[in-house]
Amino acid sequence: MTRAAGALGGQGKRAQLTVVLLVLVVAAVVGAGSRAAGAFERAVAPELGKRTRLIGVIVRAELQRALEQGMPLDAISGLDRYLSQTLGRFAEVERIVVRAANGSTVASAERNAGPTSHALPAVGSYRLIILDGNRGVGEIQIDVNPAFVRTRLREIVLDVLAVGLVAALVALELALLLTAVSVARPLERVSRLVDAQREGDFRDRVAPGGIGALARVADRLNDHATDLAERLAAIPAALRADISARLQARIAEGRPALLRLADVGDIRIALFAFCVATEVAVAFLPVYARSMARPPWLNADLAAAAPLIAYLLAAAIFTPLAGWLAARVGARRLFLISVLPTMLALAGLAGAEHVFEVTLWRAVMAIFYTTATVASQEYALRAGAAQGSTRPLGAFVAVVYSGVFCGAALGGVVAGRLGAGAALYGGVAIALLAGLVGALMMRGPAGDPGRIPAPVAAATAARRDPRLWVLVFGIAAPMSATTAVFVWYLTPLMLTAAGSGPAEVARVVMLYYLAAVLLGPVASTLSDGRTGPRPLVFAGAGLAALALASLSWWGGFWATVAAMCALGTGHALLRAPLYALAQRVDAGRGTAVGALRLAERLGAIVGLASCAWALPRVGAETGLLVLAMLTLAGLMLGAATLARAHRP
Amino acid sequence: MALFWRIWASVTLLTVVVLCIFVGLATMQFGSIHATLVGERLVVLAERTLAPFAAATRLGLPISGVRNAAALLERARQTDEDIIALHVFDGDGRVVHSTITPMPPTLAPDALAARTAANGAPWFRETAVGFIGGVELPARDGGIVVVYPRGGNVTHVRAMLAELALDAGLVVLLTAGLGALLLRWRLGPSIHHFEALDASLRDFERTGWRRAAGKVSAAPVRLGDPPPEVSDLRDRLDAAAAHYRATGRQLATPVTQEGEA
Repeated sequence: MTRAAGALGGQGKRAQLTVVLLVLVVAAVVGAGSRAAGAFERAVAPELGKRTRLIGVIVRAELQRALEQGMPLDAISGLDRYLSQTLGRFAEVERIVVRAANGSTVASAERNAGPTSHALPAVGSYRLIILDGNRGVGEIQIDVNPAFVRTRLREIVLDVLAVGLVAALVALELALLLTAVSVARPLERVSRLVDAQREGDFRDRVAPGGIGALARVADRLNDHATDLAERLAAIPAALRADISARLQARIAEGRPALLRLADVGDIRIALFAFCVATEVAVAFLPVYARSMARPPWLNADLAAAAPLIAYLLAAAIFTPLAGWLAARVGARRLFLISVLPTMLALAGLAGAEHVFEVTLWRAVMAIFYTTATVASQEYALRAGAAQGSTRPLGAFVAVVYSGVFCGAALGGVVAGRLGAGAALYGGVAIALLAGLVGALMMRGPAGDPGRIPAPVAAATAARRDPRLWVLVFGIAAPMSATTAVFVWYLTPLMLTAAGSGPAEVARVVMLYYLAAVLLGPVASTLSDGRTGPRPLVFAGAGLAALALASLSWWGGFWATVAAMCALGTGHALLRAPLYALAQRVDAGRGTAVGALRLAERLGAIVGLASCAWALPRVGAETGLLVLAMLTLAGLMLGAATLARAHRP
Repeated sequence: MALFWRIWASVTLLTVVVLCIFVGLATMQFGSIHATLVGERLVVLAERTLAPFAAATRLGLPISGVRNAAALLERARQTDEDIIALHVFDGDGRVVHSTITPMPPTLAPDALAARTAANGAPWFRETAVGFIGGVELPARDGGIVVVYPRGGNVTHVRAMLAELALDAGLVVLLTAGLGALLLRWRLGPSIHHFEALDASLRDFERTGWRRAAGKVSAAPVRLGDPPPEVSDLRDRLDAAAAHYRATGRQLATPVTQEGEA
């Protein structure tokens, strides 16, 4: 970045403006969210009450039927057992009491209240008169379980919080776009053009834009170049070469070329929108696939898992090809090419009627998700080549995870309200938006076709370097296997077994992605600074191993939550610096990023397959301990190999 | 100041956009939560209504053969006057008893799809007709469906949208005020910096057209004490403009000479 742009629109100032924007938007979302939580509570209370009252009405109807047979209220046999059964079926009921007309208790059933339940004040009680013909012979009292009501309300608050987080992440991307489009990028362009013209280079012009006088100055500088080019063109051809040679300036022949600058930020909104679009189905896809027609030999569980398996396989197969394609056709074109099939795949998913159609379209989406994300990553790497290598990767990881987080949450909300079709067609619209933004923003030279790495020579050189092998198979593969096994597979199983519902499971899984979104940029900054990538890689791998091993010592909901947070933190510290470290080790051969990408995909598949095979035999605890040991072994091997290579 | 207000307007607009997204999502979320609660209530009713039918099928009777079915269904319907219909269906989804006449031959396609997806568990779904909640007999050879109107839910959702929109409006007003304070406090130096740059760029423009009109006082007007980066950019702009003029003169000379010749 040039001097003025660096000083005025540079990282520091841009970060300040972004922080101010985020503080304001988060304050707005928190303010609106707290009001919404209160409004939700008030609005659902009558419906919760209606259901509890309905239970009372049903119990009363049963009793009245017995009374109609001529049986006195206090002689109905098995009333206590009936009330206990009813209590067992409805979690929101704390106590049911049947009283005679004189107030004496005929029968009652009460939940075995824990200490927390007693500490909570009662939130509702319903009394219904029991009639025998024209006489009131008693009453039923139903007390609402305060813990149940508070659990439901807590879930509502957490749902609002998730929606607020989605809004905040969208705000972050919009804030970054706003600062880039209004100040940083126009100033950078003007500054570059000024420097060129000061040196006598009038061959370029820039796209005018920005706030204040920036656009006018850009127009004027553009006019310098255009005016000189027109005047040179007007000189007779015979004189032109002679004059050009004598000039102390370089002038464009014809119209001055548009100066194209690439920035890591170019990919942000397009990639974010693309990830949101492709991940809208994540929240409901297994249920969606299970509800489809299927052949008799395919059971419901396999039908639910089939799209995920197809997705992972397609992504693994196309990962090496995507890197080559990005170099061959250019990152920009590859990204844009990927948008249309993704839209088709989303529409195909929406219109699917058979589980094979769902699986096929999900596989198609995986192919083009891979090409689009690899294209974005290549763009970011090339755009940020001059800025050090961690920031582009950190930005890439943060954007992908933000998109995954928002897409899953958004898809869940929209599908829950309007159905899966609406969520998927919404995804089509968002994918189209991603394509339009990509076409507008990814115009820098980083999006052009580039040097295609000579695969054989580079791979041979890489094969001889044990450090790259250790990073790929010792660190990257276990990291990816851990994500697939612990985050995607075991956590839902363990939490469901511990009594958590799907919404709670989803919220815990989201913590992993949230850690990556929040801590990824911090890790990038540290990696580019004095800390360097290596300590971050080792610290991240160590924390991940500790998180996995901790589940051998304690279990339950909060243990899983803590392990998820620690694992998310560890991987956030590790992921972008690992790419930076591998690129340094690779020394420009161009194989490190591709190898890491492939290792990540294969690690996930091998991890899931091994887990599915080993889980019934050794159990989840042992499986996680093995993963922890593998991570730790990779860390120690990496430390030893890199230390030996570092020694003179 | 103009720059400050432009940034403030952009920030406020961004807050409005984000809050619009938030209100839209939160309203949808509320609709889902409310629909779930209604659905759960329907399932409770369906479970209790199914009990005598389940007892009959345990004795080996077909579900269509329960003689007092109409009374059982009517009793359940009377627990909530809003209930549209209750249908008892057999294992193939054919309606065998109902509170409405004429009785529909089969369950609606939405209900059949929800039943298939639930795989024997209680289910509910929001459809164009209304909410439908159902439960199955343990052997999946029949069950009961309750149909409930959506009107109440739609009213609740609209009321929530209005309340959230009003709250969001208030929040926008508050954050607009907070934004003005925060921007002035935190970005004051940066805005001053950029305003100095903006002023310098305007002065560069002004100098250009005044020079074109014959003003020859070459020294650019220095506005206050601009930061070094601003002075630097201005110097570079002047250098670029000077190079342009010099090149332009070089280009003009041969043409003039040729014309004179």
